[in-house]
Amino acid sequence: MTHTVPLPKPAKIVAKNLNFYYGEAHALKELNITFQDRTVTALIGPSGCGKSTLLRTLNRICDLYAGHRATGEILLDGENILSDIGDVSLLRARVGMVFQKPTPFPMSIFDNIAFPLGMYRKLTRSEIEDEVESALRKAALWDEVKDKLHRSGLSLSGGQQQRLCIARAVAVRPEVILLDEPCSALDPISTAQIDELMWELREDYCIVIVTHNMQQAARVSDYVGFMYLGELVEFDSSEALFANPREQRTRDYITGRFG
Amino acid sequence: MNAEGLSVVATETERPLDSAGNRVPSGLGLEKPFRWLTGSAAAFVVAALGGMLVVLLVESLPALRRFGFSFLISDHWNPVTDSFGAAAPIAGTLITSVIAMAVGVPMAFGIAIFLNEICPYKLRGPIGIAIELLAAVPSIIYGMWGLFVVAPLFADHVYPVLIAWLGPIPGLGLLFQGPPYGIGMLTAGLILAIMVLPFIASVSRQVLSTVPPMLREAAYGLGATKWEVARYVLVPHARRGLLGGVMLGLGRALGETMAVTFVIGNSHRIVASLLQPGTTISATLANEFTEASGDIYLSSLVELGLILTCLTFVVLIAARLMLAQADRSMAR
Repeated sequence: MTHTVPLPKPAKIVAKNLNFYYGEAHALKELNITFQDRTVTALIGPSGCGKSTLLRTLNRICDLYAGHRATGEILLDGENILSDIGDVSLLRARVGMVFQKPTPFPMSIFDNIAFPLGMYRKLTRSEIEDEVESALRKAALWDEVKDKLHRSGLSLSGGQQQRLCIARAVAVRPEVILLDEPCSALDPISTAQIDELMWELREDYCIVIVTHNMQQAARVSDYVGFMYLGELVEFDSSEALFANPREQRTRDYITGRFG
Repeated sequence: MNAEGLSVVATETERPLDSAGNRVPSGLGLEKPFRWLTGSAAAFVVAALGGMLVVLLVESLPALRRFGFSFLISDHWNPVTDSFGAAAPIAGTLITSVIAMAVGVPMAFGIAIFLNEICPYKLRGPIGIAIELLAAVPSIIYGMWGLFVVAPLFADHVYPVLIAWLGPIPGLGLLFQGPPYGIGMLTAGLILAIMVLPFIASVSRQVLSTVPPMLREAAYGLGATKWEVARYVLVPHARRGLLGGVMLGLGRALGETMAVTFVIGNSHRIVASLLQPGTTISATLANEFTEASGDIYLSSLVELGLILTCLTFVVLIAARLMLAQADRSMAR
């Protein structure tokens, strides 16, 4: 399908005729979608519809596995990232990712953020300290951890760990942040904190979030794509899609009739 | 199907009743023998270990009484005068094991990381199998290879170079002195390194593959390179298991007998040079048990065995303590 909705902001990522295969399984079928800059776009749909797969092609994390392959084009600022782009780690530094379960590294809270910081920029000790503080503040975690920065990242609660992972993703100063069901392992209070965080991050980043939680999609996103069986069924502004879906399948899914 | 099997499918009312009229679970008849069997299997291990220690201790008593503590620090080993000291084999055991670990551990970790993160998928299987096969080569083969191939090669091409280049350096040079025999501590240590390599590599590989995929993806997702992911995320996450693999290798290096006996030179002297012949505890035992005449000689050999056992225990305990400390500093 093609976009029929107006997209007021500049496009950050454009996927054109994107196909994805897990070995023989055809997981994404001729997908066309645009993610705008400084916008939250939510991807919804039943399990196995390909929304996580789509997310994982956007920073080529799927490259880590054998037999995974994508065809078509994904343009990041006009450059096709599915072509031979050299070192994929440079791409992944531009397109950050937060996962379903919190994934703090086996090191201190401070080092969890200082580690990726040190990878791409030469910083002095005090610059690193400033950056760590600013990332933790952006992730609304600073006040809770400022007195225990040198304790293990694993000692935090699940919600705090997830915000640490977001802080870590933000610290690298990416252009895009991909969130793959970031709240599926969190309680409602932590989820609300992360929703609020996304709303703030939206000022600076292109954000793509995969979620199973309709309320969350409605709360945080500007645009929503509904996917089903590897296809993008409907794409619209979030008010329009939730209030007035054009496709029957979308209506059935968001009203809870299937999925 | 036996009677036990049938009673499982019997209906509730047909189940056997005990004297008070309560229903009895049908598996109860097997419960006691099962407990007894598993319990005795566990007890057997404890008994075997205890028995072994007792025998070692009792048999080495004559030597313990005769030489006391000086057995550990004397390097006198003279069957003719019945005067024995274990310092040379103990030193040899430790030195060869240290060489083996220093060479083998980095290589094994390199192999494990290469196979898990870098190697093309098609080659992972074959290389993995090659490593397992390396572990399956009998140690006597390593010994023969060491004696007939490695030692002459080292004598002609490696030792002379080491002596010429490193020998003149003050301090460090002491380790590389003397005539280039080709057999000695260094050769034994390097053969041991190759022998422990597959054990450590294969354990490390398994341990690294248990790192949650999401953690790997998170690290790659930040733009980390393979080196950064391995060094800062995979290895720290798997450190407990990796240390376990290293200890397994160290255990083998300390106790390895045949291969070392072939290439160590079997000399009861302590010299600083790694290029000179020495001996290890297990090499001494293998060489001299058959010709040990006299109670004190035999008893001294058994005491060597006791020392080797204690050495291995100490290694295990040290590993546990290191792990506990590593965990404490992580959780701080």
